[in-house]
Amino acid sequence: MKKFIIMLVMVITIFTNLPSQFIFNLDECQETRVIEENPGGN
Amino acid sequence: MKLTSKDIKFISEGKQLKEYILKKYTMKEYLTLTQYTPSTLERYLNSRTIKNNKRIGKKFIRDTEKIFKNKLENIIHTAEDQFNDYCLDILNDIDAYNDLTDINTFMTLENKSFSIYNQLLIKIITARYRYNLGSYQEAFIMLKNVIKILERKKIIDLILLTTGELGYLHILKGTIKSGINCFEYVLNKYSLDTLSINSRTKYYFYIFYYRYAYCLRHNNQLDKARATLEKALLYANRNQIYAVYNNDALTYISEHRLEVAEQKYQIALKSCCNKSSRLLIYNNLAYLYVEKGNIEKAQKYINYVINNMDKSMPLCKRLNYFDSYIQINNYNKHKIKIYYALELLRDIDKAFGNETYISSFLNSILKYCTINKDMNFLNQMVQLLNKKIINTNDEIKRLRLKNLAYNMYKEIMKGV
Repeated sequence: MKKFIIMLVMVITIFTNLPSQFIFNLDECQETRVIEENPGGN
Repeated sequence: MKLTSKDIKFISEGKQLKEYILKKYTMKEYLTLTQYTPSTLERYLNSRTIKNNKRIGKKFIRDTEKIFKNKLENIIHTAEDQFNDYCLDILNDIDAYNDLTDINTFMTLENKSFSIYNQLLIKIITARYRYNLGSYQEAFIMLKNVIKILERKKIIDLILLTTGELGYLHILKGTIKSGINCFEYVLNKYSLDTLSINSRTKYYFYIFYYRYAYCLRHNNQLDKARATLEKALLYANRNQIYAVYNNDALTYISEHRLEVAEQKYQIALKSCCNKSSRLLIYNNLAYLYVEKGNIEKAQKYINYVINNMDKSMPLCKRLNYFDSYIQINNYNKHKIKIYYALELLRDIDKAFGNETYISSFLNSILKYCTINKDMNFLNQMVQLLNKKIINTNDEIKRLRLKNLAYNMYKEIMKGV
């Protein structure tokens, strides 16, 4: 649990201090939009 | 429709009172036993008689007793019937429920004196609720037990609904073949044609065939899926027709027969009775036009969806639409109103049970911010998420939010 909170603080710190020119690996981002299939039928 | 505690009490109190009446107590004894005020009793009994009996304090005479009993029987019967409708409404909307108070009420109802039919309906709802909370195994066991009881008591119509639910859980879990087995077990064992049709059984039949067809489509049995959808269409009400045609279109998309799929979507559009269903079809048409290479038309449809969706629609759907919106508009900041995403983020905890939608949505925004170097928006988003984590009292929800934040962190770290 403690580890998790530390990790979370890190996340927030990293986010708020991100350099504006950081490069995100776009190739690893997959297209995620999906057709709405409505499996429940409601 | 909201289920109130008053509605629930009405049934159990009515039944309790019936027992007391059979025991021939005096009015004074009734009031002591039930702890009711005379005005509460008036809900069930004739007010004039209550006054008389209260004053005289004598036992109810036989005729009066008979009238009371009949009146109570009617009240109980009507109330059970209404309760049945409440249950079906809740089951229908359970994925879209933002406020779980009603469903929590259900958890406390199982031992109350409802008819066995309604008790089992409560169990079916509870199973889905448990599933949405992540207790998958428990949900499956609950539904299988309900089916066993129904088989023993030969309540065939409710077996249709329960199997529909069981099949749905298999769909959600991705165990499609097991889902098909459940449906086929019922089809092989029972002669469904002999069941009488009323508004309730029509709904059960619809759910049964629709979800069976869904499983068949995912198992690549497309012809059989279409034939089953035709059966579902026979039982669908006017709000459900679009869903059948939507799935029909999807069988053609699986074969890449996009022209036929488009025709089916057009029929679906004509059958839509509300905004929510229309936007669903528009989203799918946008997807279809992307497949056909007509991006301009795809953007027109998806932009319409985003500009017209509202808070009454299930959050997971809205997250998916926004995901499509960002991607179809090719992350172009001049075409995307990114600030719309903040409103969705504010409610993010209401989409639990559908984490895939949440993380896809977050990743799309992350990608948008990266491409457009919009650190300002990324900061706003992170701060909102952080605020959510701090302000969420529910421990499970808080852990889930942390998990999502952690996954985002991993994504970011890949690129740093």
